[in-house]
Amino acid sequence: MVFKVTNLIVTLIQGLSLGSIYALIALGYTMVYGIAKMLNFAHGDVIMVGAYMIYTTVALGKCPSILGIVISIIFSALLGIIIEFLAYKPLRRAPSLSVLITAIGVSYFLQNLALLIFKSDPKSIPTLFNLPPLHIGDKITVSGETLFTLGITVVLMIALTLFINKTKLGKAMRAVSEDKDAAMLMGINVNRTISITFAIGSALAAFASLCYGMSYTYIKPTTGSMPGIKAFTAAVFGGIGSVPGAMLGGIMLGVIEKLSMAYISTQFTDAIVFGVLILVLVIKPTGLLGKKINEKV
Amino acid sequence: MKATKKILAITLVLVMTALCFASCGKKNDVWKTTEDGKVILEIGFTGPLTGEYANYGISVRDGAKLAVEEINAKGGVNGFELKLLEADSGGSGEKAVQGYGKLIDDGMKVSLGGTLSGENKDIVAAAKNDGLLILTPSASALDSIGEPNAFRLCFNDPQQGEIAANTIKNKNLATKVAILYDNGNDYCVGNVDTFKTKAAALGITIVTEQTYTESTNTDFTTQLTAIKNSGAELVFFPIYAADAAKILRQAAQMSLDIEWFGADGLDGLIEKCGDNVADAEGVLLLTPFYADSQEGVAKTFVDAYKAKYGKTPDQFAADAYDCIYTIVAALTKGGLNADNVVTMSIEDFNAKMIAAMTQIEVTGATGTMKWTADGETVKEPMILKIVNGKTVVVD
Repeated sequence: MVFKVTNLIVTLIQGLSLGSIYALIALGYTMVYGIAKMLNFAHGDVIMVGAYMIYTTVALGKCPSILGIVISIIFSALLGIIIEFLAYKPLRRAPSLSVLITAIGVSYFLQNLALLIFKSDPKSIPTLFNLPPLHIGDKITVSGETLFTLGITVVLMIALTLFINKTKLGKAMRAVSEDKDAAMLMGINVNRTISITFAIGSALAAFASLCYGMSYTYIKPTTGSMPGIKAFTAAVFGGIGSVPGAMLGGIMLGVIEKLSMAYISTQFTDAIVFGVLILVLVIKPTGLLGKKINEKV
Repeated sequence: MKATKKILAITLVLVMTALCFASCGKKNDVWKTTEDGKVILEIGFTGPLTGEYANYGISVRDGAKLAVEEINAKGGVNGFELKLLEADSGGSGEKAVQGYGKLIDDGMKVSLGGTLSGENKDIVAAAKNDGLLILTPSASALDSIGEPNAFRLCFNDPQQGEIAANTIKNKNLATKVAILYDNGNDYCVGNVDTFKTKAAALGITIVTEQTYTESTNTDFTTQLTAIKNSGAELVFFPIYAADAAKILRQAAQMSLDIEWFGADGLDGLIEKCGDNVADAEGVLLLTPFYADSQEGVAKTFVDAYKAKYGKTPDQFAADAYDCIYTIVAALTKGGLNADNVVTMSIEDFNAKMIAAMTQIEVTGATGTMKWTADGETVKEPMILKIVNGKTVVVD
């Protein structure tokens, strides 16, 4: 294949857009890990639930797009809180392996529930907004959905960074992730802070499902699992527990995936992506932006 | 006293053993009868009624059921009443074979094989010793039949690739062609292999070959960008409708303006596109069945199917419907009726059915068909084009 600059630009933009979706999901993983020290493997399926909510409200319920999206975001946030309350809270003092297994159980539960309600055939998310593609010259065409994804991710990331660094609640979250017991002694309601973290993570997943639904249209009960795994990889890649790390990791993963698809092979994409992950972890075991934590003796 | 006990015991053992053998020998070739004296002919369906491929299995079962009910409502055929037995495979070959075994135990006389190619292949292998007629509506992979008792009603994959290349050449659709397919799927690979060979012979240039797999079937933008830059005039995509709907949606988002040409796997595409039916505008597909047909068996079938199930049938349903009528045609051709089957062995019945398959000609919802001794069907496909959200026949 002849190397063309326009090709490279298109591929990079597609990579950024895919990476943005990964980053939005990875934020959920990383925030929950940072604060509750657990891997919430049901997180990927929250995306699927969010997408089905948009489908239910807009396609079946004939709601206006905006209303459908808002309902989906609120529903996902509530779902995050409920999952935490029912499945993880009783295990707060249990070994981390038990929590991990529970998370996998919740993931299967959500998938099968969706299978029961919506059946296995893919459902299509209706066109939510009419976004015209952007033409730069005659060679470069960027779809409206791609631009929308990029835009919404930038806005959300700025908002999240401000929230964590500037608000009282953000400060509480940082405190709990640093030292749960000390935070409690300082009068922070740890349980409430964890619930809020789950709610924010799940709401971000709902935004991811919005972008996913707009770009890829068709959803089915297993829709969330692959992006979920990729985003988890992105979170580890960027340094799990680190918010900027999840953003960077997600975007880099998307770009690497797209570049290897375009220039190496569509078959080996996943092998290359995970190969890069292994490489990073070998060189820097805490991930790109992960902090080295010295175990207290 | 001792001696009498011994004799009694031995007699009991002998009688019981004899009883045992008697019931074993009788098990499969007993013809059950209905209350009004008709002989029941059990036809067995095996396919995915649950799981990822459930839509195909359900279509096949519903299509077959419709034909069975139609025939029974007319009083059956040659003194037989048809009965459709069903077994869910969940899409796995192993479960399909288990299901097949269960249906044999329930007295199945003719099998509709498996719905998916993999299932059918396993069933055909397992059924080798049973010797009954297997007529699969939909297993299209070349090696999914291959025993003298196995036939299929649909085209095989290589046939379609060859017809596609011929059509592109004869109708001057394009000289530069891109191929886009799932290279982990037998159906797609079978199609593409013969397409490439035939295209080369006909002077059609394949400018790019893009692939994906089941685990990467969400994002097609890279492949579509490559196709756009390759200068292709037409994309040959012999894939299933669910993937095609995703691809066409992303092509529309990228404003990729190109001709699309697919095979019978695209059947049901309009429904799969849902609200985005405009994406499929102008897509060409080769298929023996046309749901909007205004004439012949196809119309009768579509009307009856819609009335019964409230939805438009797909090709799987049409194939299954035709299978039942083909079995009936084979019964008649083989001179089999309720009076003579009860006196012949099940082996004779099977042999007569299989021999009849190559002698019959059936006009069904999917065209007029004959069969070769290899089990392949001979029929003419139609070229359809999607115009204004409906399929129309292209001459």
